[in-house]
Amino acid sequence: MLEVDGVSKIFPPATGILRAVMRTAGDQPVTALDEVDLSVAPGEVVGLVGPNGAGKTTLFRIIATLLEPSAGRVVVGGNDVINSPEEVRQWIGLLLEGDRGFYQRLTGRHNLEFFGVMLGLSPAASRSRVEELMSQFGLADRDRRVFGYSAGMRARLALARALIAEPRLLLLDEPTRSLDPSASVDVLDAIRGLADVGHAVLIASHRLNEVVTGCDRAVLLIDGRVHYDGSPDDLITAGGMLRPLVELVEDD
Amino acid sequence: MVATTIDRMRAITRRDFRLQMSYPFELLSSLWGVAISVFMFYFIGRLVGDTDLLSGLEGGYFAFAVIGVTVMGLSFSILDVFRSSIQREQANGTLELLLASPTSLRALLSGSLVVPMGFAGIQAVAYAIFGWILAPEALGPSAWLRAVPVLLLIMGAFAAMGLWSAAFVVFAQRGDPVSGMFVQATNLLAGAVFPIAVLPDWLQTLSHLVPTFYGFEALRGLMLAGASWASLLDEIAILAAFDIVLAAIGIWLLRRALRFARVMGTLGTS
Repeated sequence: MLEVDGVSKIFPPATGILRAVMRTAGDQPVTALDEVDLSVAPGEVVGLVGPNGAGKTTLFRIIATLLEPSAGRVVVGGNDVINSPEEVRQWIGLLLEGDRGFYQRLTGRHNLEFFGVMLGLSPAASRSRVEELMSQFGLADRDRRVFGYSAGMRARLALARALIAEPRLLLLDEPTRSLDPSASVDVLDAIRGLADVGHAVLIASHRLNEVVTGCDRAVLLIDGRVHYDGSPDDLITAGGMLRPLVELVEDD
Repeated sequence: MVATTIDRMRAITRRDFRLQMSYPFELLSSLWGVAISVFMFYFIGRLVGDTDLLSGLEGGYFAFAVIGVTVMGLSFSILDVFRSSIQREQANGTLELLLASPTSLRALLSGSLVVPMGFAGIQAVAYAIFGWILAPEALGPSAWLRAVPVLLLIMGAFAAMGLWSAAFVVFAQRGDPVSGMFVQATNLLAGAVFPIAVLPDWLQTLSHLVPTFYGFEALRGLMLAGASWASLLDEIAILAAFDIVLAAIGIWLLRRALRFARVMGTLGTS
């Protein structure tokens, strides 16, 4: 479903007139990813774990066609993210930066209906799917303009949006960031349910326990490099050279 | 069932309408601004009186100025649509989600035009109605209807410059100098609210580089001087050529800016 093969990302510096005009680019190149290999199969939940700044969100943006890799190849459902971005976008459901990304003056239901159509559902199908998801995530009776949502409600709304078009590959960046422990368990259960019916799921998290609880496989990413790819249980009990890296994540 | 391009554009329109309606007094205050502006030009028209510079045009300075401010109001709205839409999506954190969706850039841009143009159209109609009340012989509905094709061409030029403006915002994540320069050039050189005959010769020469100059010439010819379409073909052809060239460059610039942002990692940055 997802193949990431030797992907590197070096953010180029802004020089000359670019430096004067651009507001956000730095003046030195920044290596965010360094020859990352990763795969996610249908029905599998893979946890990408690492401290803040490890490169998790950068990798998500590359897979979602929002960022071009400097080297390497990413293939989603047989489609290359550089050569066939339109096809890749049909495959993915995206949750970026936790609970951001809503029109605050619209209700949660109206937000979801809008994104449902943008993600490819007909208006009628989008409305019907929204009702289903609002009920599933306990939002149906509490809907209001999004600026009145609590952080936990926004997190659930963001997850509902990622699921709305039933994508075959789900990219979830910190999906439980604003949730209390019990709501986090519910969300991880929902994600497991999706994998059980064949969806591939890649979760980025800086919480090791979450990856151990909810994922089939853990990938440890630190400073843009993959240091471990295997069983979550083995990662948490790892000794030797891996131990300081695991502690780095635990301390984050 | 899969969403068609029309479904997507309608969804964008519905979203924008709901967002606009969440600010219920905005339209009312803009209509108040229209009324004040029209009456202001009416009294300036009385001050100016009959002038040789406007000989051959019906309705005197008032009719001349109402056409200018109506068109500029419509045009500034369309100029601003793409830039403000991109900045709003960046601020909301929704730009990346939309660009990662299967909805094409063309559908996103086209859909985002509808509601702002609808509201700008309401303002334009308000200008036209006030103008008709105060200068019924020159600014009647038939004069405006006759001018619709030229109005659309003028708005096309501003929409094209709107693409340039949006490209700059994506590229630099800040307000662009493009739209400001275009608006100022139009205000000064195109003959929006005063005839360019009052300008020095060298500025009059520069006027011919501003696409809206040709639009105003054609509009006032049709509406106030009773000119035929055939006699205005040169102005209309030049304006149409400006539209095509500016739009082609604008689309190219926006695609380049998006590609650049995908390399630099600044796509969702506001």
